Amino acid sequence: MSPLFSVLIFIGLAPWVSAEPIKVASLSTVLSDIARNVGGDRVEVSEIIKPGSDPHLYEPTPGDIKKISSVQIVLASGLGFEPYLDKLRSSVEKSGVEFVVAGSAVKPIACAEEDHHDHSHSHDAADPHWWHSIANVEAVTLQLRDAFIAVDPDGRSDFQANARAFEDKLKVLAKWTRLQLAVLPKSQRILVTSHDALGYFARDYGFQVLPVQGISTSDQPSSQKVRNLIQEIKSLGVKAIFAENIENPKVLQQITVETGANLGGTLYADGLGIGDAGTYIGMMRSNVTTIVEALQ
Amino acid sequence: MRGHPILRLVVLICFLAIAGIPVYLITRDRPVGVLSSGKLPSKKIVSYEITMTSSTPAHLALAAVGQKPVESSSETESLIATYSMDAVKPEDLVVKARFVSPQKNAALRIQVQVAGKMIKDATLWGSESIEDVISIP
Repeated sequence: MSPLFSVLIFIGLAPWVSAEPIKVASLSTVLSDIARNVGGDRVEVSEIIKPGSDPHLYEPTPGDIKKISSVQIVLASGLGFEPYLDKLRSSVEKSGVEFVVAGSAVKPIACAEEDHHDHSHSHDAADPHWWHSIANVEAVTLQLRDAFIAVDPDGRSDFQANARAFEDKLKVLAKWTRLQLAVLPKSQRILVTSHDALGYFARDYGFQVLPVQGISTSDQPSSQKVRNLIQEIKSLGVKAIFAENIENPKVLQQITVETGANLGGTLYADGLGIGDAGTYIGMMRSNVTTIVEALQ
Repeated sequence: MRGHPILRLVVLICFLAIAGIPVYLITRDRPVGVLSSGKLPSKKIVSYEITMTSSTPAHLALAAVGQKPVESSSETESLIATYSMDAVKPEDLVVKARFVSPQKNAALRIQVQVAGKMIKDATLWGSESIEDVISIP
């Protein structure tokens, strides 16, 4: 084979060689969606946490660790959402996997103080459910864009364009959310939820959150806490309380019986759902619509 | 125990009543102390003077929950309204502008004053129309 022919073959194959997608493993359904939006065809995302599963109860299996060892980037929520993260990091250290932790790109808010006295769990003091603030998702979008560019510099323009397009969609979502919530009087902006996951949403839109459980779904409320919550729901005249897609709503149903509040529907608190709620934008629209319809 | 049976009964009732007072105080239903996050909002009402100013003539509209919507009857460059709302938690303002001559960077300025003091000054940008929510701090 002549050198000239070899060069021509190399040039001809170059686009396919560079088009080999970045292999990404995601420990968050929200991060999976952001990665697909930013990465497009240049990124192949393996979902370690699947939509509809409870990430608070997840522990990596040997099969998961093997899968994670074979990728270039691991996406994690951080802020204590994955208590196993340090162990996982040391398990796959030798494979050279890059960890991108979204919590480092956002300004965290603190958990409600009472949660830390009510139970023991492995979370940090920060609320790890950062994705309920659209502004945080915009920040993480830029973080993933930069992480992908670092691994695949040839894809820079694609990643930049994809990130801009997704940011535009997020801006439309943010305005839509503001307009939807504007019909709710401030006095009715009270979210009684299964667990304390909507702190960022509450901060952005002036809600007060009254969770049955703490910051994790594994936190169990004391009977005294449930009694206090029932009294508070009555005294504030809360119209509706909300279940979550990964929870058994039995306790909430009992509270509705005692308080006279309605069961307002199901919120996606710990990640994406399926169907229309299978994307970040779809999930947020579903949550906002459910909240407005129940509290209006 | 000696004495008249009625007197003995009265003494017994008094004793039971006195003994029951602490039991009642301990076990009675008390209003629940609202959690720190659940303080009832103050009901003090104040007047918010809202001024909308458009960079070009537009149909302007303003609304808030529990307040009468205000709308310009024709194209104008400003609209002023006064809303009486809670001093601590005023409602969000929904502002709309539909520009008569669409242009690339038309601006809509929203200023909110309470007793002559500016508490919000925001500018929104659009081309054909603007519709958004302004939260008052």
